[in-house]
Amino acid sequence: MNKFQRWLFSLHLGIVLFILISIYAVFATLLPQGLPVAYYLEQYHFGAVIIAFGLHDAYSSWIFRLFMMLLMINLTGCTIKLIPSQRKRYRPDFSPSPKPNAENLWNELLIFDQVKNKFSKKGFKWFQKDGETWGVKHRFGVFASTVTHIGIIIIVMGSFVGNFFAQEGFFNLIPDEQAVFHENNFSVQLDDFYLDFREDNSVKQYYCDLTVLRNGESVKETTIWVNRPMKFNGIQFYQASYGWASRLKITDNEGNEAMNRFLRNDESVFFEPAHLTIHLFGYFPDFAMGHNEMPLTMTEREVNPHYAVVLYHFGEFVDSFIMNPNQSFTYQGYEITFSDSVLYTGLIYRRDHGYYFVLLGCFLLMIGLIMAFYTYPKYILMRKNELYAVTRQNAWGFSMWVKNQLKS
Amino acid sequence: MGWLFYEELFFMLAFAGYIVASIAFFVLLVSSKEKVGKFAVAATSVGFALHTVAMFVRIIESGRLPFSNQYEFANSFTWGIVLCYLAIHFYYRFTAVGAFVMPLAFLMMGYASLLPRHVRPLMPALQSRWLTIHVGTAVVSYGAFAVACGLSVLYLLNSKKSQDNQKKKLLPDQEAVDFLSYRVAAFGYLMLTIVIVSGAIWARSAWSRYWAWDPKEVWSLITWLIYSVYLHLRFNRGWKGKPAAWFSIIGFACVIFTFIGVNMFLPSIHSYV
Repeated sequence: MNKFQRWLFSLHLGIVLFILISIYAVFATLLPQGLPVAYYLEQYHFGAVIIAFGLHDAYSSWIFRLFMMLLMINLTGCTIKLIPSQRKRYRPDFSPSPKPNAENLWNELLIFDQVKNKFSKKGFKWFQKDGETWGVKHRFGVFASTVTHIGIIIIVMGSFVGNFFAQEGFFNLIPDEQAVFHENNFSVQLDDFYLDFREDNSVKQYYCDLTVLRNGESVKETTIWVNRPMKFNGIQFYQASYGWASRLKITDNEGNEAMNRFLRNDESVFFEPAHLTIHLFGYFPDFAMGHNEMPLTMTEREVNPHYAVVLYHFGEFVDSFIMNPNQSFTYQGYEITFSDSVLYTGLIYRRDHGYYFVLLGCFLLMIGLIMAFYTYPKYILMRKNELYAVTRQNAWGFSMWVKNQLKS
Repeated sequence: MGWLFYEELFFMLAFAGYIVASIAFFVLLVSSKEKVGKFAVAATSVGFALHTVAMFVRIIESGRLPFSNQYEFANSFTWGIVLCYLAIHFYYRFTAVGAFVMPLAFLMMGYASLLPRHVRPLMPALQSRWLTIHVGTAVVSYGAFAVACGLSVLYLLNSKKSQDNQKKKLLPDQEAVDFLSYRVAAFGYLMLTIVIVSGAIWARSAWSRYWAWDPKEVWSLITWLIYSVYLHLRFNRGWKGKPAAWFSIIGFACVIFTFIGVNMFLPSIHSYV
């Protein structure tokens, strides 16, 4: 292994990378992420530095990816480098050597075979070679760092898979509407969306009744809510947001229907015959007037429904109205009404096979850490009138434990 | 009088217990009298018992574990610190460590006492069994890091060994403090790993993404990386003594920023905790 390889696979580089990633992440949390480049150049004295180091989009930047790639190479190399010595230490005939300043725990009252028996009952296995006798427990713990590192490598690889191959999207549905997934040959229909209220009128939970249709046939029916997504065809569907949609009807002076459609809050529609833009500022199911003369809703229960509507003609403000579902207003002979408000749901869908790698990596990481901190290899080395507690981890704690055992 | 009255009563009594314990531990350091040490531990134990009662009253009052807002977490965090301290005290008999841990518990409880205490129902995103695992392990993890930090401060202050024999008897051996700080930090680190992993699994079921680079997540990761560096250097490079103690203190500063700083200074989807 040449000098460069030794450096690339060294603990030193690993530590440096951990610190660099930490510092980079600190800066990233202090800056707003994902805004246009011009924003950073205008708002910050060091805008050019922010852009150069990719801190405006930190976690997708070249520098962050470089750090992660180097970390992967470092961890992989470091792990491969350590395996031979770990295998050597795992062998039953591996005899431990105490540190030069290790405390000799032997005392006159101890009897060699009794000590062996005592620790055999605690799970130690005994070996003998060249006048030395040693007991060992948790030999498999030598692989702790390997298991931990493999766990981290799998987590990072899983996140790369997710970043590059995950499918994700968002759609809104009004009850009885469908979202079609052409590639997967199915569609998701919202049968109903409703809120569960507490006594104080706060929302307890949001529920969606969904049906999955394939070739017109129902293949799955389920109810989802926050924390309980639906899984179908490897895709997860999540209840993410909601809002109100209200039916806008425009009729001419002869009673003919000129427009009939749903408008969501803060949505506009252009009505060409009158060159009129109708903006639904909002639907307020439990209407009240705020202190700043702005309409608001006290709860999501439909106890006092009102609409706030703004009209524009050729882009110029014309008028604004606050009306209830039984009211209408007329403009240039057209009668305009809002009614039949319904809740719509916002659903996120996501397919990310990388997640399962991440999950596996997390499991290995935790197993590795438990091995490293608790089931690490422990040796009791005995020579004539000498007894040492030997371990690379927690030497003081293990020594104390052995002393207590010997006392008892 | 409702449950809230009793919760507040026991909370304030526990707070008083922790203040008395902190003062007693300080007197112990100055006077080196064993009796004072016993009194300080007794005050801590009584405070902890009262604190546990206050927590139980809140659990009965709200019908859930007290993990859902900044007050509840600060309160639980304090409980975790004292729990970890008492566990260490009764296992290793390091009484004087309390002088460096109890002020942290007292400060954290003081912070909790400044926050609104209303019992609010859980918002939909928090209605998950993962809340118990995610926040419960965070309480223990942060408590362990606080104790490790206290031990590190003890190590640094005790570096200049006193000639006073009574003090020598009172303060644990430096090597023991150093090792114990490391072991407690390692336990906190394992718990923090569970916090992050359980948070990722929960985030996936609630928000679709297991990792969204939210500031709270990122700062948890930074804390994890800092302690990773500490543990690696300690294990592989034999880092002990003062540098290790300083690293443990820096790690705890990250913990505090993750808990309080992120909520105060950075926009986060975790803003409720």
